[in-house]
Order: sequence, then C-alpha cells, then structure tokens
Amino acid sequence: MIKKNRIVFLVSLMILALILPAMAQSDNAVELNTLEGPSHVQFLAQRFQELADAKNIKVNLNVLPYGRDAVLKLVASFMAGGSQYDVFVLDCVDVARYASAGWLYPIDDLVPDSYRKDIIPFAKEGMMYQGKWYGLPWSSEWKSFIYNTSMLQKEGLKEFPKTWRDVVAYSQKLQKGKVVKYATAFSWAQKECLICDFVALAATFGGNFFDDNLNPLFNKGGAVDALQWMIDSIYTTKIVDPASLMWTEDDVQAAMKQGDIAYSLSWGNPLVRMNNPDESKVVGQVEIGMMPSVDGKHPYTVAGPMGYAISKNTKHPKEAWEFIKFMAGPEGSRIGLEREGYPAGWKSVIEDPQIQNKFPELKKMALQSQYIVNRPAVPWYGEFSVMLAEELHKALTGKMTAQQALDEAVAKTLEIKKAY
Amino acid sequence: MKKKSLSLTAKDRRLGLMLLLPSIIILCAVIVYPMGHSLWLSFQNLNISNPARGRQYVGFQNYLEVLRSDDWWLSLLRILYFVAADLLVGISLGLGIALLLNKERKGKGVILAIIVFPYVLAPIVNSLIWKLIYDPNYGFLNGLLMQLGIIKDYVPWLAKPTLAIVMLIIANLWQGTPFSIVLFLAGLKSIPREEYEAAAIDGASKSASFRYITIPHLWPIIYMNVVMKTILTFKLFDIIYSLTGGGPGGSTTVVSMLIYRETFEYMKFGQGAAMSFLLLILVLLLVVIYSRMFKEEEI
Repeated sequence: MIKKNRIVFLVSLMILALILPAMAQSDNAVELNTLEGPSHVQFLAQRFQELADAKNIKVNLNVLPYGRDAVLKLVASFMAGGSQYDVFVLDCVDVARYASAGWLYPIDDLVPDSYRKDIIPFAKEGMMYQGKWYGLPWSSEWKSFIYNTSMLQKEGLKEFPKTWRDVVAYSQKLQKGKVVKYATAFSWAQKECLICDFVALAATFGGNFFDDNLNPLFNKGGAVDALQWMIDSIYTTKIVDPASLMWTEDDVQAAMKQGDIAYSLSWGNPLVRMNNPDESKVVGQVEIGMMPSVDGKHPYTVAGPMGYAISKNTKHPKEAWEFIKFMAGPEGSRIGLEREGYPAGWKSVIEDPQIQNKFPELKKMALQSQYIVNRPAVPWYGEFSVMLAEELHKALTGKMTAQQALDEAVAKTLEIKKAY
Repeated sequence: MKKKSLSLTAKDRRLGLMLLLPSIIILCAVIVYPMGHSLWLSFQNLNISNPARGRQYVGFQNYLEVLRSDDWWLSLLRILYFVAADLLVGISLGLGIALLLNKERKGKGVILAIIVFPYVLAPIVNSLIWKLIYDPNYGFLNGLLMQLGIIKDYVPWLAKPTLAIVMLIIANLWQGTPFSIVLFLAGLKSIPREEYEAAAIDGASKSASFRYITIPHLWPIIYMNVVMKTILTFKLFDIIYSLTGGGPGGSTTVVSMLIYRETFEYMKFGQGAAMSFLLLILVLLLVVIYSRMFKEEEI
C-alpha cells in the first residue's frame, strides 16, 4: 500500500512539473529582449515592471558596457537572424550602418503626427537615415559649455566669453592670476570623444564635414581653423591642460568637479553632477552658457542623441513599438528626465513649466539646443571615426600640421568610402 | 615461460583511442575548427557590417593588402621595439633579481611573493593600476618625482608619442619580469653546489663561475624565456588598449591593436584574419631562428 502511494505521489509530482511551467506561461505576456548600457539599471527594471503591469509585455534586460561591446553583440545577433534582441538602445552614429544593412525596423508608419510636431529636430535627425525614421529619442544629449563662475569672479570676469578669442583672453587672465593652472581641458584622447569635440569646434568655426554626396569637406576653411585653434590652445596660448590628449569626458568632468579647471564641455545636464555634494567640490559654482565661436555667431555644439529602436526581424513588432513608445515617447521621456535626469528629445517636455521649475538650467540648455550639429551619418562611420581620431591626434601631438593631417584624413576617407 | 609482448594489441589501441576521443573532439571544436575557419576567412573579402556585399573569395589579396600597408609595418616595428626591450631589459632584470633572491636570507618568501604579485594579477587590473600611476594630475609617478624635486611640472606621460611607448614598455616589464624571475630561480636551484665549490677550490673568480657554470646551466631557461617573452609580447593588448588605445597619434598602435581594430571595429573579418596569420607566421619564424641560435650556442 505504501509502495503504491509513493508511486502515485511521484507521478503527481511529475505531472505538476510538466503543468506548472505551462501555467506560468499562460498569462499570454509577450516577452521582449532588450540590450542596454550599465547605467540606471534599477530605474529601467522599475519601468519594465510598470510596462508589464500596464500592457502585459515582459521585458528581459541584458546589460553590456556601452560602446564597442554592445555594437559587437548587436551585430552578431543581427547576423544570426536579428531576433535575439527585439529592442535596443541605438547610438546616432550607428544608425546609418545598421539601417543600410537592413537591420532596423523603420517606424515612419507608426509615428503619430503629434510626435512629428513635438520632436526636437536634432533628436529626430539622429535617428534618421536616408529619409527613414528608425527610433524614438532616448537620452537626447548635447555638449554644453559650462563655467565655474566663482573662478571667473575672482578675476572680475562677469560675462561669459562669446568668441574663442575671448576664451583665450579670459583663460590667460585666470592663469596669470593663479586662479587655475590651466583654464580648461577637453576630451582629446584618441577616441570617439575627440571626434565629438572636433565636430563641435569645427561647426563653431563655420566648418562643414561632408557635402550632400558624402564628399569630405573637412580639409578646408573652418575645420582647419578649428584644428589649428586646438593645437595652439595646447602649445601656443597654453590654456588647455596638455593631459587633455589622454582624457575622455569622464576625466574632464572629474577635473571640473575638483575645481581644477574653469571651463569645460559636458554632456547632458551637467549641473546634476556638478551640484551633487557627494561627488563635486564646486556645488553651486557652475553655470551653463552658450558655446563660444569664431565670431560669436556660430555657437554650435555637438549632439549625441540616442534612441530606442526595433530589430527588423523581431517576432513581436507591435509589442516592440509599444515598448519604445512607453519608454521614449513624450510621457516616458518625461519620467526618464524627472527620475533619472535623462535629457528629453521632446519640446513638450523640456518647455513644460513644471519641468523647468524642477530643472531651471533647462531654459539655458534650450537656447543651445537651437545650435546643434550631429556627427556625420555615414554607414562606414566606425572606420571613419577611428581613422579621423588618429589623424587629428597626429596634428595635436605635433607629428603633422593641421592642414597635412586633415588632407591625409580626407584622402583616407575617400578610400574608406570607395571600399565600402 | 612465454614472454608477454610489450607492444599494444589492437584492442589496447582501440581503448586508447576511445579514451583520447573526447579530448580530440574538444580540441577540434575549440582549436582546429576555429583556426581552419579563420584561415578560410583570410581568403575572403568579408565586412560583416555591410551584408549587402556578401563575401567574395579574393585569394591572397587580403595578405597582399596588409603587406602593402604602412600601418602594418609601422605597428610591426613598434611591437618589435616592445619585444627588444622585453628581451634585453626584462631577461637581464629577471636574472639579476633571481640571483639576488637565490641567496638564503630572512624574509625571502615575502619578497618573492611581492615580486611575483604583478604576474598573478589580471592584466586589466595591472592596466588600471598603471593608469592611476601615470595620471597626469593625480598620479603616483608625478607626485613622487615632484616630491623628490626631479620634475618641476606635472608630466602627461601618455600624451607624448615618444614618451608614451616607453611608459607602456615599463608597465609591460613590471607585469612580465616576475615570469622570468620564477623561471630563473627554478633554474638556479637545479645547479649543483659542488660545481661552484670545485671552481672555488680551483681559484675561479665569481664572475668566472657565473660565466662558465651559471650561464651554461641556465641556457635552456634563457631559451624558454626568449621564446615565451617573444610570443607573449607579440600578443600584447590589454595594457595598450586601456592606457592609450593606440594613441597618441597612433604611436602605440601595435600589431594586436591593428588586428583588433580591423576585425572588431571595422568588422573586416577577412583582413583581420589575414593579419593574424601573418603574425603567426612571423612568430613561428622567430621561434625557429631562436631555436637554431640556441642550438648552435649549446654545441
């Protein structure tokens, strides 16, 4: 009898083991897989839970360091059919490459008119390739020029510089007055950060990168002047810390937060970090201004808009669209900004009085948002960017003149374009 | 009594083969197949970020393009500079420290543990340590040299092309020299004491003992050091990637960086594979040359 009971018990256990997983799946929740960077993970998990509660869409979060690692993983998934990650965070510099390869799901037909009117132009441009729209803006940031006002006041400098000539004069005054050793620093390590700064500076000198047929123009006019200014700022006027040649944005930000420099370029909303007493020694001292330029009339800066995009071969395009709307639509962006400081790509969000009360610096940032350039949208950007960073560095380290380095970069760009 | 044959029977051979089979399958899956596939890729024009072009068989074109490229030869020269420094300085330093540690003294074990420490650290941890040491504003090196009055101003060590490569060589030596020390120490322990005692009785000086007893005994260890250091330095990547990323101005871009860049940044798998095989051939060639050189010396 006991033996019989044991057999019945074991059989029941086996039946339960088979039924329970099926029951767990029977809530009809669609599962999406996403690939994200390592920051704000708690916030993302919270938002994904809210999405699951509201729309019955379950999101599995995969985290990888932002940049090359994520690109490799994504490309491998696309090569293997493209359904491994249904939705993912897309950097503006990868849009052309992925879109031209046919790996992205175009969202033109899905985007409502209200979104089209509301999106900030540079954020939309960053998610477009050849007239097609591939993602909703998520973390639509640009580099702002920020100042340590306490340092400026020590030398009686009440206004922010409008031209690069002003920047040099102000910086030399600060250095002469021993307020700082070097007035400023840039992220000019031989990496993508150098390209970002060069694109911004070239635009402030009136330079262009490519014409409409993707013929390079950056060995002429403003771009050459910008590179020459960069070289001079290290070796002639000596206002830039030479360590800039090995620094990325994080290093520059650290120097600014330590009070070692008076000006710098900074992504996103810099005041969130500068005014955080846990990490900054310059709380309440930093303000945001417009980007200086060659003549005070080209206050352009560089943008790095990101977005949420859908994989072309996802098995759940409808749910994927629901996901990116939930996360990166105007309402989702507002929540991202309020809770975590993610820069929003929607006018309705950054112009909202309630948001502006909470983040008063957004008013100044909104002025800069009218003068923004993106990095070139070319499918061969990966190779182009690495090559250009090396050529720029040859000029910045004195191996070549600005003109020679940019001439060589243009010649190599044409080779890359031809070989693609 | 019938003598039992020492040769393997067919049954034994089958058993041996069966026992080896799992290892052979694993080796084929993780070494033979990837290498074969990589060799096949090296004859293809394949840029995986441009699937529209697909892949084309291009014969030796990838190899020829690599050999025609200035970047390849420059990166090769740079890594040869690393190898030369590692062989000359690293091996001499390793031998010198091993000779000092070979003597019985108090706290020898602790000193040895400290010296070997960099070798047991993960390469990326080593790189991060050196990043802190070389930091221009907050780094240990600038702080120390300023306090000693050797420099008047902070030096951005990794921002100058000629200086950056030297600083990377120093970081690499710090990581690689303990390997030589351990090998040399093992070699020194195996030299019979009697030989030194006999030499001393015959009136040999310390330098003569070193020249005629120590060095000949350590010859195989020196050979192993040269071969291993050449191989390890040729594939040097971590320190360069994390400290300079190949900069400034491409001055620290060595062959491994170039292969990484071509394959994983440009996604040109064909050219990346061709570069890898050229590097393999070069290292094999050097090992053959070393082996002949050391064989002649032994004779």
